[in-house]
Amino acid sequence: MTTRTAQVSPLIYARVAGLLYLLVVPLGIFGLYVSSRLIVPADATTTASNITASESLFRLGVVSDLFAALVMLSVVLVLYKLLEPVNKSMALIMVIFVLIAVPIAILNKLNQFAVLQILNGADYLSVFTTEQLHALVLLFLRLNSRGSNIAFIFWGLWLFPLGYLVFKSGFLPKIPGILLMIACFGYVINSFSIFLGSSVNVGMFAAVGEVLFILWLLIKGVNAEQWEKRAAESA
Amino acid sequence: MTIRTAETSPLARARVAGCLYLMTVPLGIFSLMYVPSSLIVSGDAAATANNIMASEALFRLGIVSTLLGQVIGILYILVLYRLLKPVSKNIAVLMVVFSLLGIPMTMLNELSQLGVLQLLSGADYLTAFTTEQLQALAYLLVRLHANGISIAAVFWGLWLFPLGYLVFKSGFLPAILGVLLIIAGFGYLIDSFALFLVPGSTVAIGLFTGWGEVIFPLWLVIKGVRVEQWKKRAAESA
Repeated sequence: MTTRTAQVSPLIYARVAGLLYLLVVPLGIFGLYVSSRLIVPADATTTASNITASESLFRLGVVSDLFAALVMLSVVLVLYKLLEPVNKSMALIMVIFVLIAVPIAILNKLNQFAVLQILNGADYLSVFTTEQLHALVLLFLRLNSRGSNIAFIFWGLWLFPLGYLVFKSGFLPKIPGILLMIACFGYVINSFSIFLGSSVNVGMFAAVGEVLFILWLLIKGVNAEQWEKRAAESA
Repeated sequence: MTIRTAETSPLARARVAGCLYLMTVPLGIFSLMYVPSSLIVSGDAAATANNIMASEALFRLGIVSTLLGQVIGILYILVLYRLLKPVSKNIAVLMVVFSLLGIPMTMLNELSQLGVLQLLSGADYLTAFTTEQLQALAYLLVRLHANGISIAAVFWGLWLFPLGYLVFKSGFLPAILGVLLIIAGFGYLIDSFALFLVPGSTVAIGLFTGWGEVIFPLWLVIKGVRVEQWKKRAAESA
């Protein structure tokens, strides 16, 4: 992270945060692409043979998920520098929510490594029938998506303090702030409804606020004068 | 979530922390004691599986209340940090770090419970296994979930030591509460390590040592803190 805090302009923070955040979008889409290419929800055998046939694609999917979590970590640290002048406590809560999401998201990838273990054809697995091994593959893939649902509680929650800070900042427009706060509820409701056995899919709608916010950071940045004023007040 | 940081009184912080902490007590009792005791039949995979399938909503509510309890935990820990920082900033940071470490563990551990639901879902792909095998796998995950709780409980216990110390030393909260919190911390650690070390351990002293975690938030809500003492502390530490 940057050590020359005093001299870094808020515009640089905004651009770096925007760029890093933007990087998460293709990583996330790639993960979804891999799942849709390989996983056939009700068909364990096809799924297993897809994964065996495209093992490197499957592994790249795992790695892009891991990267996405690590990039989010750097996004939130840069956003902390940018938004700390608005309200330090809120900015800290935002960082903590992401810090909790990251280990959950990363350890959850263990489920996908389990899939690779099960399909590696090792001798010790021959005590199970092929159908059983394929069923276990589908089970671990289900667990992987449930684990993502757990992580998404926090991928949602951090958007609330973020949206609040954007809304209150004076150096960023209020609309993305409101949309980010709404997005928080979208993700959280999505996850909890799945745990309760239904599925209200409002998550896709939630991403609108995030995309708008990223684009604003990249194209417009922040109002540097307002930011300096805020920073001077909070110091 | 405290917004007007500068003006927030220590009493308001004490009340908010106490209320949030108290909310997690019924959630914890429900998910850690009531749900397992009504659904899990020790050593009997078939009965356990049948109970869970018959009361799926209860089982799911147990998962949700564990997850909610952890999210609420983040909030009261941060409020407690603001309240107790004047006593010793280093120890207060240690308290936050210990408690935050427990949260992702506890939450991802609920994946075992979600796995139980998958195994018992009756989905077509599971017909590769016999019913007995599926029930045995579900029971294995039930056991793993319990062991995962014991691992996370190491941190549920550890953060109570810095918390208890800060309360003991504060001067604005009764010292006896600090002692009770430290006893509760030992309770968690003893239960967890007994389970790790002794096969078939049924040590559960947490029920008797845990009173500090009820009395402390009640005190925060009803009595709050001695504001004058708190202000003196805050002025000294500033």
